[in-house]
Amino acid sequence: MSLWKVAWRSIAQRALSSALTAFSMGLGIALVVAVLVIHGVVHQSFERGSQGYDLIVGAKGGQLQLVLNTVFYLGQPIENIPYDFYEEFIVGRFEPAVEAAVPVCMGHAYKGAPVVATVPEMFEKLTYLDGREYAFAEGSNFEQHNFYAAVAGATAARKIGLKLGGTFQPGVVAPDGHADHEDVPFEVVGILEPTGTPNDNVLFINMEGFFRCPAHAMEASSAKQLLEGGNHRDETHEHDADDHHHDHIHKEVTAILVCTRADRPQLAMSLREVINEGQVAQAVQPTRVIADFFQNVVGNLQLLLLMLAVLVVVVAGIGIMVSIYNSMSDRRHEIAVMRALGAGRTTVMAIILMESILLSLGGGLLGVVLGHGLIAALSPTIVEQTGVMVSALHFQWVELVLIPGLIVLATLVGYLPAAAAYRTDVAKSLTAAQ
Amino acid sequence: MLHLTDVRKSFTQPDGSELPILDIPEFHVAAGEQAVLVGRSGCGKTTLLHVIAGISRADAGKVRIDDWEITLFSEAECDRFRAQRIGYVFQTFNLLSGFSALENVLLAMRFARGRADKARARQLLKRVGLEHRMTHRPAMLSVGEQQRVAVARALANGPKLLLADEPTANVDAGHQQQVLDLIRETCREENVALVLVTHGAEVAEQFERIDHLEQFNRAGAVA
Ligand SMILES: Nc1ncnc2c1ncn2[C@@H]1O[C@H](COP(=O)(O)OP(=O)(O)O)[C@@H](O)[C@H]1O
Ligand SMILES: [Mg+2]
Repeated sequence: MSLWKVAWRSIAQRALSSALTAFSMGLGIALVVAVLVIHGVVHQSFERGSQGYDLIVGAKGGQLQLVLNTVFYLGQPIENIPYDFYEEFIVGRFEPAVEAAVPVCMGHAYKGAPVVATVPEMFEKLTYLDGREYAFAEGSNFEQHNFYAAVAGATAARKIGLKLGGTFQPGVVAPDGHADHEDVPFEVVGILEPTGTPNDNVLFINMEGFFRCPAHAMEASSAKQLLEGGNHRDETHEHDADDHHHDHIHKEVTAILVCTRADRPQLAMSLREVINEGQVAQAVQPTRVIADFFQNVVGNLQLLLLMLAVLVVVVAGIGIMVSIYNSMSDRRHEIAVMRALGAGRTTVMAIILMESILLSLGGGLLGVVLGHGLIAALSPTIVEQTGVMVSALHFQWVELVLIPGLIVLATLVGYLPAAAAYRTDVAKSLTAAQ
Repeated sequence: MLHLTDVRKSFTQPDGSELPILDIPEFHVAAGEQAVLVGRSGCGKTTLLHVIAGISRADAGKVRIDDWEITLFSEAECDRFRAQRIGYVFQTFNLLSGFSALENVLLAMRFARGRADKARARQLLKRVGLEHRMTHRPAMLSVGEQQRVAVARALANGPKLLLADEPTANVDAGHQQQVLDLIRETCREENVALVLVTHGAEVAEQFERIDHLEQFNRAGAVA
């Protein structure tokens, strides 16, 4: 009969108090596990969005805001930059440094899904995650001359119930989050395979069609120019017959996703400097901004959460100490009997420490199961919100630290009652009961 | 095999003064011998057995068991020696309540030698008439049965000396004789020396050798 079994028996003898203390340990560990897994999820989801291009060019202002807006479709809409500036990347002075440049226009939405106006190159020249190419589950990419064509992200299509051939009318997002007016209907010509990036939640429409929506004629900056005296509408009327009449109206984009040429890193660096020195726009490196943001804000917040969770574990550990220590007065006699039977001081001390370790590890195991159960229960929501797949078996390597960590904690909290067992005066405790 | 010489033991009283309990010039028990020590309650019987077993330390004097002078042992050595060579039957049985009859016997083996001999444990329990009670916890046994488990446990490690502290005092009248007979018979069978202490004359008079603690304990006379 091993000492572990002896320790287990005395735990079993105080079933209720043992179960409660182990459960409180379990809650603490579940919290630690949840924080660790969520840390991994958040980290991944932040890293995922921005791959496939190395620069984001947008209106001057906050770097983080530009990145959150462009990559994650989060936060308030931002200022636009002129379409001419985008052309610099395609045919103008920036062209030599650029592998691919894809414009995006934000600020529209349909039934809660962000609507992004862009060009077909979005899915042809850009990649996602580690260089994976976009694939279509149904239909195909839109073509530039098909003005009112749209491509739906996997989640957006499913949630809204958009099918191939279905149509929708994007609206402008008002500050309160509501779509304001309805534009011309766009037809879904392709539905993307899930990518596990924020793009899954997005409806992409052809920028050409977007610029041709009547409503945009009176949009913010254009309307402002109208009031300021410039009359673009009259100007465009002169070219009414021209098929490309919109080329000359005041077109704007929210941001440009730029993939610089890998074979000319010097040029790429200069490109960023030149843009940032100019008056029109800023160029930011999304991976760096995200890494900074993650480390400084999200990382610290999670470190705080982790510390709180660890604190809960420590408190649970103290609970174990109190529980065992309180049981010592009842058990002093039993310990004296064991000593009288020949068990040494270190043996009875070891039994108490083992009790503490069993309670901690048992609670810890419960906590790991609870924590992963919690993650499993939340995983549909997590996939929906972040595109990151997590399963109940999504173990983090750090979790292995829990085992030695708990043993150390159990030894520390078990020390006080174990020392009381060690000090038990056998003769006195034996006669006290008689 | 048991030899006490000038053993003295006193307790510090709450007021700080020393109260002498034991002062025994000479006490001797031969191998396989069965001795009864009689004394009124409070005269130091339990204290004496504790000193012999090394549970308490004598203030002075020698306790020798066979060739070992246990008064020179360290505490850990005392523990080991007691586990392996001395059996102890308590007045209140002192079975471990979380463990079955069999496990109580096995634990005594475990503490003595680090391993347990299940076959011997079963055989001992059978010997004390508990072959159908092996998996019962103490709470499910009658007091007579509990004390029989305690006897089996005391003999678990094949001791050469059994100390029994008023072993029938807490057993119902109907079973006292049965327990007493069991102790004496098993000691005889295993050739174990027995020192039994009691305050009751009816138990004492069954022994051939009767010692009155108050007569040879000089401290007892003072107390
Ligand atoms: N730890 C102790 N501290 C002080 N006095 C004690 C202690 N243990 C026993 N005594 C005293 O020693 C005396 C003898 O006790 P004990 O050996 O238990 O007597 P018995 O077993 O003969 O009834 C009693 O008066 C008791 O109060
Ligand atoms: Mg007594």
